[in-house]
Amino acid sequence: MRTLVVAEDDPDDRHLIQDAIRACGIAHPVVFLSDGEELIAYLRRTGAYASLAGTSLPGLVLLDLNMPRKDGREALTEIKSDAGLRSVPVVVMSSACSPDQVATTYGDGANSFVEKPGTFEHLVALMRSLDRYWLQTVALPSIRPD
Amino acid sequence: MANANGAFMATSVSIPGTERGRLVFAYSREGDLRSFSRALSSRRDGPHLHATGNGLDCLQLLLPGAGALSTPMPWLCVIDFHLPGVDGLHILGRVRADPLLQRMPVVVTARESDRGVVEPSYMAGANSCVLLPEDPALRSECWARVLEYWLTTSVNPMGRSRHGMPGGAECIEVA
Repeated sequence: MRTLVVAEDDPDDRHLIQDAIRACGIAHPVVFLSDGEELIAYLRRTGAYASLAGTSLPGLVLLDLNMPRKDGREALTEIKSDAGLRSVPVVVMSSACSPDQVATTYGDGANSFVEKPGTFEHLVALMRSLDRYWLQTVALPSIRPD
Repeated sequence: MANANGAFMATSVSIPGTERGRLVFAYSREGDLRSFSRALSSRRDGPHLHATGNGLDCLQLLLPGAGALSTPMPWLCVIDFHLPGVDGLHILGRVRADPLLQRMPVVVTARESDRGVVEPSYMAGANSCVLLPEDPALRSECWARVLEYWLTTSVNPMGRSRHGMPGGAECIEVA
């Protein structure tokens, strides 16, 4: 079963997402990471994640844009310009949904852009929709890191 | 649809409530067009459907050239990997190289036994890849999920037409 990675720096948002994932019964393993640098280290299996070398990459990354150290946009650009990581689907979740922001994010290679909901009820609905499409309907690439 | 010579022709189907723009659908089996059209017709937010069973026609629908300034930009492209004429991967490459279309969401489809198309599709810039079940009921459910996600859940980046923003206040030059 493929892992869902959530890159989100805000501890409150992480807890809400975790509760929403639990509420809609997503059975896939979920890994929470707190910034873009940690995400890149996790995907490249380096640093604290070196012990994961040779294991399959996550099935889906849910990426916040505003994060410290390395923000979501930098991380997205790095993932999509790395031949070993490029095929990992990345869904950007942000409350900043101006047309320019959305267009730029797709231009950077995001597989999809979803609006971060303002209520827990809507967050559960969003997680259910992401699960239904990305984890139950879409064919995910079977990729291992180099 | 196939003509008397067996060649595929582009089909255009008007769906009520077309504010969401155009959807280009390229299929390799007639049954896919029927089941996809049914799934789209059942939605109130369905866009205008432009369908074709040929890769060359699909390119023409997506990249009509500088003479087609009044053509609204497609908001979504659902494309079969194994199209006659020009295959889905080639079309995807052309879309990603086009300055006006490069951000358009593209869903690549194939048969459920065709697992080998998944990795190349993502590497070429597909937004997602869906392997279609052979069972007709499951395939219809699959189309419903594709449409639900891309027309409702995901924020679409294609707000601009070849005339500019909806309403046509701004004109984008096309080389």
